[in-house]
Amino acid sequence: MDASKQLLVMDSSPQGRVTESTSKIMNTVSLTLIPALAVSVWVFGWDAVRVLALTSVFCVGFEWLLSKWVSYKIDYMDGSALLTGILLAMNLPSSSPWWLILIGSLVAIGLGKQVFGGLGQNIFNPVLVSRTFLIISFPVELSLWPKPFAYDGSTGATPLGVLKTEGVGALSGTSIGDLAMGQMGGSVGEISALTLLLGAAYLIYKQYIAWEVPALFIGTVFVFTGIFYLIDPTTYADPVFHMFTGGLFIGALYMATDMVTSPLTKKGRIVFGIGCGFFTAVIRLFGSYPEGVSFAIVLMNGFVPLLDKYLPDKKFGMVKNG
Amino acid sequence: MLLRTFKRGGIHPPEEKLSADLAIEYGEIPGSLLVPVNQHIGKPCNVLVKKGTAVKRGDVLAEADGFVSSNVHAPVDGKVQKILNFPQLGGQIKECIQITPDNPGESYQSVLEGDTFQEVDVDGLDRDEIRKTIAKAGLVGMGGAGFPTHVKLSPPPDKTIDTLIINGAECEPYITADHRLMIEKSDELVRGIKILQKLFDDVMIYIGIEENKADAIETLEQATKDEVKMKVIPLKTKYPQGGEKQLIKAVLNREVPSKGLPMDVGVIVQNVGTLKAIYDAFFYQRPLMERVVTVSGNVVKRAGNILVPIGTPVSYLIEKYEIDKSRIKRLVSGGPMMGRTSYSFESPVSKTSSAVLFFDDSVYDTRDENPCIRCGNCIAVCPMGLPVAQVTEMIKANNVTPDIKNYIMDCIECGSCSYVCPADRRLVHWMRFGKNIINREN
Amino acid sequence: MPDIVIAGLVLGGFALISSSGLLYASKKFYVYEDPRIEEVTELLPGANCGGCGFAGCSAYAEHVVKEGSLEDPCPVADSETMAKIGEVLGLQVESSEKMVASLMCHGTVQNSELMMDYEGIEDCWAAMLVADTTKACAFACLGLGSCVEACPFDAMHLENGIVVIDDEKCTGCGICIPTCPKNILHMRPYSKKVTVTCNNTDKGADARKACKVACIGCMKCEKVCEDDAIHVNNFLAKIDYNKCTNCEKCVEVCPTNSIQIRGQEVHVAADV
Ligand code: SF4
Ligand code: SF4
Repeated sequence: MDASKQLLVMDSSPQGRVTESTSKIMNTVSLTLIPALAVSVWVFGWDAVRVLALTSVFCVGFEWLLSKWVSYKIDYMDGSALLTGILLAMNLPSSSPWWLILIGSLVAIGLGKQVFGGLGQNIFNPVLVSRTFLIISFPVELSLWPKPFAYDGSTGATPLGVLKTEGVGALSGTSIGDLAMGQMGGSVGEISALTLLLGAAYLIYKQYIAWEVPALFIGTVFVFTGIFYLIDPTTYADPVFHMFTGGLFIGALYMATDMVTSPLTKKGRIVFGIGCGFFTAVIRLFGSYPEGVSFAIVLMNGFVPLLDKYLPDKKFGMVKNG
Repeated sequence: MLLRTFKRGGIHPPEEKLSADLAIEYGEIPGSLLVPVNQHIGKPCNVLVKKGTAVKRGDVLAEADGFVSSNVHAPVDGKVQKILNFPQLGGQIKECIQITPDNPGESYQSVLEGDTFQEVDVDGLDRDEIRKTIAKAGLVGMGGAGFPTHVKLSPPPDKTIDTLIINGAECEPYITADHRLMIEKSDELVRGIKILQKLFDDVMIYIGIEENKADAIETLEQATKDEVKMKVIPLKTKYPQGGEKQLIKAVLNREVPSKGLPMDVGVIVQNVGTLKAIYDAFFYQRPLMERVVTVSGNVVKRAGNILVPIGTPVSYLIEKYEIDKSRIKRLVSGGPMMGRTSYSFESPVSKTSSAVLFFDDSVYDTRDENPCIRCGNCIAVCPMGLPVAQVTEMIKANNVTPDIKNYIMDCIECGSCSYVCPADRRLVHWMRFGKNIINREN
Repeated sequence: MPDIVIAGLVLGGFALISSSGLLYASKKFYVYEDPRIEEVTELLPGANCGGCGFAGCSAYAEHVVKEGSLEDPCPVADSETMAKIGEVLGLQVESSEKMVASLMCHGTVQNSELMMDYEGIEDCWAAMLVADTTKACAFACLGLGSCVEACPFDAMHLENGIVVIDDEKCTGCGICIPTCPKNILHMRPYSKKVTVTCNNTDKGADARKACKVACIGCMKCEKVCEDDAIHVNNFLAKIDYNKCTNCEKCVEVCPTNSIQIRGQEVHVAADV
């Protein structure tokens, strides 16, 4: 037999697969964030672009640095680091100084992801680990939210912050329509519920994210805050306000649905979604922080291994023999 | 109308049934045949011939050893050239009997026409006699696994069989061999079914066919319209509907218990190809010596369904279908989802090769395994409801606990999980590897 | 002051009561442990490789002390160490020779042609699920290194599609032997370097076709051996190491070079 003979490929079945790949999923998720980002740029001006550019570069950069250093393989261009960067930007105020962004990116990539062993191994959502870390470490920087359309750099509180400090009465001027479009103070990406919904709808259609999580998350917050609004409308804001303010939409649609840190099974996802909603509402209503979405998700992330273990799908054939 | 199907998991890969409308053609007798000695699951058989033995078509080349074993017959007149070990379709190396035929190039159709039809009084047949005839003809499940048919048809007396399901699902992409049989040989199939019907008291027969084979459903409905105890069940197209457990769930909504067999729920499943072979065995006294093979794939110029004697080398098909050899990268026997790759163009067609597919790199090309991103797709599509991602992770870590073993042993290796995994994890291979670890422990 | 005194007394009292409890417990539940177990453990190589069949070195030590015999010696320890352990146990130890693992194949990709482009999981058992061999020879080393993975002493590595074993690093623990799906690893005494590097039991012509250095069962070695140490059975030569004297006569007469002097293959794997 001659040496140039072509060798046939031997491999285990199946000889086919979907065209999806890790990077395709990650990049698609990133792309669906474009409308929300556009609104942010409209509302906050070029500062939003600056934050976005910095987080993206830092996150991918750190991952590249770590890939030289660690023993396991890191594919820093698979889109996951970029997505982390974009989502991190959406969780920061547009006025964030560069050093804050640097620390945030380092925490997200290093502490949030790679210490666990890289993509797929982390228990907590890297972006939220970073955001939580920053909120605790730099409370001042993270409560200075630029006012919408105030391109001069003046800052104010978010509607939820106002609610916490000044009570329901101070909110009388806000219209739900403005909130839904994103005309309010807040971090770069959390403001425009409608555009986030648009992007996420596409992802749900592509089955990249499970609809159970956001639906139950938002639903639970709505129901829970609604109950308290009915009890006492003078102390508690109405549920629609709760739905459209703060990070609920970005949290429910993009953070809680992160594949890595959400449960594997449908049953698990249902519990996860309800849990996230419950804790968010509790923190918003009774906690000392105005916003509870990130804490709630990080908390529920911690339960995911348990949910995976104790809520597996029903195995076929678990019927009585004979 | 709501079509029946199994509920848990499943996928819908592109059907690619290129040869669905092409009638079964007949091959010629190739220049040399390699008849594998063992084409069944069970005890290996004993070779009866030696180098130089002259054989006639239908002679027993290797005899079944014990009950769970199966005869192998000479498909053509010729002379035994050699007995050798040779790589099979599917990668294993097995003993083969090489036969040089007396009339190479003769159309196989004319060989078949030489066989004489003999009317059989089905009602007068004795049950043991039926089983014996089937065993003698060397019939095995022709869907892929190759379990001896007579064994399957002899359930222990404590199991009552009330239903017989004829598997015409053919859920794998590309393959159309059963589809064509159902259209072209519907009367033969029905006569074959009637023989099986004799084996059990008061047995109901369902023929499960996926809806993408509308012509087959129609033809068989025509053929069975006078039969009260036979019913064609159109099924929603979904892979892996052809898996026995899934088919039973789809047709009857009965769930075969974990580690159990179809007969535990009173069912026996038979493949369409096997039924045709049963018909041949009774009405032509013709043992299993040939089969319909689908030739397809993305590098073939024309696809087709061809009836060839068992032992025909793949190289014959390549020549007959004028396939550009240099473009072939993967040679798959069976469907793309469960079929096995092969590495030699001289490997022979066996009783279980439902298709021979030729692919280049463009359809599927192995990429490196990436880290699991916990998307949960594998779990969602697994028809057996296994936590695939976690189980394979444990196998990889060589941590096969008793819990995990239970899961592994339930895997039917359908390939759905690997098919949907965005991280290109070799989930099925790991599952099979896990089974291998368990086997080694025992 | 009284406060502090009271506190001191109370705490002191607690300490007294609980410590006497502990004392009592340690006396009551005392398990006698033979000090020799510790001594033996100390002497053992401490690799915890499991080659002896026990969970680790200390488990093995416990076993030999309890049994009071060294009938199944630690496969890794050299004879000197075993003698020392024997001293501890008051036993005479016959010095046994170190064994090393040896591959009964020389089917490098140059010798036995690669037949396929295997793309599955990199593991010999996983490959066996896809095909019975990767090379022209059905008996050949698959060259995917399940044994290399398993070796705790870094004594094996892959070269040209076969495994080569470093006799110096190999401790003879035997862990690799069952990891080979082809069953072509065996143990031989360290000093006996002459090895039949083939496991092909096919007829001569077939074996030769599959691999350039296959044993074809020509019996030349059997005839030339003066010590009755090599025999051909089933078209395959096999050396009886109890009789082999390292004369290397068979190596010279073998027409296919399928008898080789092992222990140096680190350097010779590429040629032939
Ligand atoms: S784990 Fe097994 S049964 Fe489940 S999808 Fe994968 S191959 Fe099919
Ligand atoms: S489909 Fe692949 S990436 Fe998704 S959970 Fe399963 S193994 Fe992980």
